[in-house]
Amino acid sequence: MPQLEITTYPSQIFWLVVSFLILYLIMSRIIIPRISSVIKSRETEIKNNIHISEQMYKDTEIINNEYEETKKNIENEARGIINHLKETTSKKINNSTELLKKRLEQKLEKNEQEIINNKKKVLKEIKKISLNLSEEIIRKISNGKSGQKNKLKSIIKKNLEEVS
Amino acid sequence: MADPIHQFEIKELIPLEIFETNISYTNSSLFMSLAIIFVTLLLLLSIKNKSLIPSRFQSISEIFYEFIANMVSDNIGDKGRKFFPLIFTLFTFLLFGNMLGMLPYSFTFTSHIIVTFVLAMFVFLLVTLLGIFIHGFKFFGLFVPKGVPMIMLPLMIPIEIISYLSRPISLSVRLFANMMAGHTMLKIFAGFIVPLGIFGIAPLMVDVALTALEVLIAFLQAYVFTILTCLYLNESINLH
Repeated sequence: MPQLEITTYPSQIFWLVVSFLILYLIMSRIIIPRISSVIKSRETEIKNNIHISEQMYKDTEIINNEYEETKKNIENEARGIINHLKETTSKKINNSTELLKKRLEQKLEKNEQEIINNKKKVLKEIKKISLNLSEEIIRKISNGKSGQKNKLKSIIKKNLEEVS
Repeated sequence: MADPIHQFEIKELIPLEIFETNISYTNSSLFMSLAIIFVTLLLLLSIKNKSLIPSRFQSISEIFYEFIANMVSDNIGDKGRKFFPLIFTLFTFLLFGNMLGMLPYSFTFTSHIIVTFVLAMFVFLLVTLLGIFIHGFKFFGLFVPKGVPMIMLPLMIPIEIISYLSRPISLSVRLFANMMAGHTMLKIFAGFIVPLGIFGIAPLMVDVALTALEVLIAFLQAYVFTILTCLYLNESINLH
């Protein structure tokens, strides 16, 4: 069995030690630092990206809040404007309706007054006309009898006054 | 039939002698060198671009790195960081030694007990000295199992000491025996293929299957050796 040939041991041990040392040096000095630097740089890159994304998330949240706030403000403003408009329009409507009512009332009053005046006028006229008419009638009837004439006149006058 | 043991023979390639000791450059040394060159080139080329998003090729070295880094951090913890290059070297050296051995007509240097024993002894001495260096006399508390009645201790302590001392042997024999047995078996089956003529297809199929199994074992044994080293290191660093 070649494994048990002691004469080959020194050479194998020697070259094993030499090879292992060389490989250890290559690994620890060259290869491992390179691989670990690549992996580390990737980790830092990922960390950076995570950090950036977190920052961006925060920023978007701030912007979102701002947006919500401005939205609220605008809504409030709009509501205020609408309310204001409503109030002013209702006021205006009220005012104009009142004005209209007043005017109407005035006109109504005026018309009523006119009607009353007209009525009075007409009544006066009627009195006059009826008086004239009655005078005429009396004259025609009496035909020159002044005593009777005056008597009738006063009666008619009395009656007229009673009517009016 | 070809001798199945023949493949393990050490052949001198460049005769060399220092202090009357024969340290010739042999086929074993050649394959150690090849393993180093191969693993160095593979990892170096794959990490050359250092791209943020790894290509498939770059993933090879990253997977190696993360595999060992996880092994170290899972088994030893943060204190094991110092030993990461050592574990990494151990794993790649054994893995590529085993894998190169799977190539036909190549040589598996891990199939020699002296190689695995030196590695195991190195791990054993490192672990022991490290434990004594860190914990001083307390390190020998490792031999006193917890929750054992006092009466049992005279029996348990020698058993613990023997099991501790046999670690380098079990560690080295496990790897060497696996490698040697696998390669011998492959060779024996291969030896049947030609003499059996048309029926040689049967041992050929067996050999194909065995090759797959051996590749798995080549990986597994490198992994086992490394993870046991991690466990031993953990014991001496953190006691328990």
